[in-house]
Amino acid sequence: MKLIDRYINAVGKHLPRSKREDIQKEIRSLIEDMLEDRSQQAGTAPDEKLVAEVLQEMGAPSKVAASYHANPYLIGPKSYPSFMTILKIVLVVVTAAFLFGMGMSLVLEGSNGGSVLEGLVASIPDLFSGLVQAFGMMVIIFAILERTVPDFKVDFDEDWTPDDLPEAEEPVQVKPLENIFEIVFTIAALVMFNVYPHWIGAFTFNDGNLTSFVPLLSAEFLTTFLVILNVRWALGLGFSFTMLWQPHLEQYGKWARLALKVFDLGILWAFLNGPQMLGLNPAFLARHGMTLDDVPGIYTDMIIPIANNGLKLAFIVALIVGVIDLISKLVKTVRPQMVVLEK
Amino acid sequence: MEMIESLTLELRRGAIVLAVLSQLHEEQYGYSLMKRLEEGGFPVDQGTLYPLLRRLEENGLLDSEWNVEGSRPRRYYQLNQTGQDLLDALQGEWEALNEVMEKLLS
Repeated sequence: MKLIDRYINAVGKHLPRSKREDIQKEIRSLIEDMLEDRSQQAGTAPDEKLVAEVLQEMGAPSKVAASYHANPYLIGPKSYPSFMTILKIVLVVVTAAFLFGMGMSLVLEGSNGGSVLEGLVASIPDLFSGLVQAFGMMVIIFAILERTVPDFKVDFDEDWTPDDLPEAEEPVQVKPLENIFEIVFTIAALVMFNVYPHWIGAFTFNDGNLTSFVPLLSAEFLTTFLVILNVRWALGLGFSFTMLWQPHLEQYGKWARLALKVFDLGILWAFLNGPQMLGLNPAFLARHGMTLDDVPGIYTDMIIPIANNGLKLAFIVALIVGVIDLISKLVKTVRPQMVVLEK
Repeated sequence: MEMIESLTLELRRGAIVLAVLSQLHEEQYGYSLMKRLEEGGFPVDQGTLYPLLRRLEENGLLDSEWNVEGSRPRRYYQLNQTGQDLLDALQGEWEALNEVMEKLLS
């Protein structure tokens, strides 16, 4: 019966030390009972062949040992929902922190000659390994909690009441006032950038009187982006005018609004990679009777670089927020609310 | 088919503890209990039954002792008072559930 001894030993290797001997004894007793039963049925004395049959029926030693482990889960079904909830939060926070850090380093250090796109692509492996690390840490923490804290779970919805339900989604109302504002500001921007670009700049007031003015819109920015900005504003005007006559935002309106958002994100992206928005422009200075020499040094040394970096940061933040907003709007548009609940 | 199998398994799994406790008014060793359940129409494989008996004992529902009087040592399990109380409660639940299910299914 050496086969039985070998089997019992093999099972023992997978059992916790404290219970090993007792469980081994019990398994041996089970195997012998099975053997006795089978040999009586067959009318023969137990032999190695019958032993092999019985052991085959029992299954692999590791499987038999595993059935004695009370908790075969790394993260059990009770704590799994909490694990998933917290994991999602952690991964979002890690991604957000990563993007923020990258935006900051772009602003503070510049993109080291490469474009913003190259910088983003180059840092994808870092983000990926950061996310994998965060995931691994979460698994380890939960696996430890699973084994040390009985009935561990985090219930975020413990204090839930029906009052917490989100409002039923009404059809999106078109607000005429919003559109009128949009139209007025768009026309103002169109006129400003096309007719009076030399009036975009820094004013200095003293006791309520204008004491000095320096035009700050860079010539390169204007030649690079004026056409595309005009196209965007024209499309925006068209959209706002159309919406003035619509009581609700219909599906095509939602898609048009999404298209404009994509357009905006593209422009923001181009802003980040294109010439800086602010700079001294001799032609504009001349229209105010100034030359480069008349501009105080503080503008070239401090004001313009700081403002440009501030704008860059603002563009990055707007881009990130915009992408998140776009994704959520996209999901809502593709999967419209099937049932509009009555209030 | 696979779904029927897995759902049937799920149903049976819920009843195993009740079935096992119901047969332990008098002491039984693992294999005799296994046979008894099989003959009664509720087969449970050894990989499920033996660890379950240990867990029920750890939870204080069964008492056990090694009996070396027979041909070989065997561990005998039997309901204790806590186990008996639990069995009574579970049996009540089972009967009520059965009644409800019969009504629902008729």
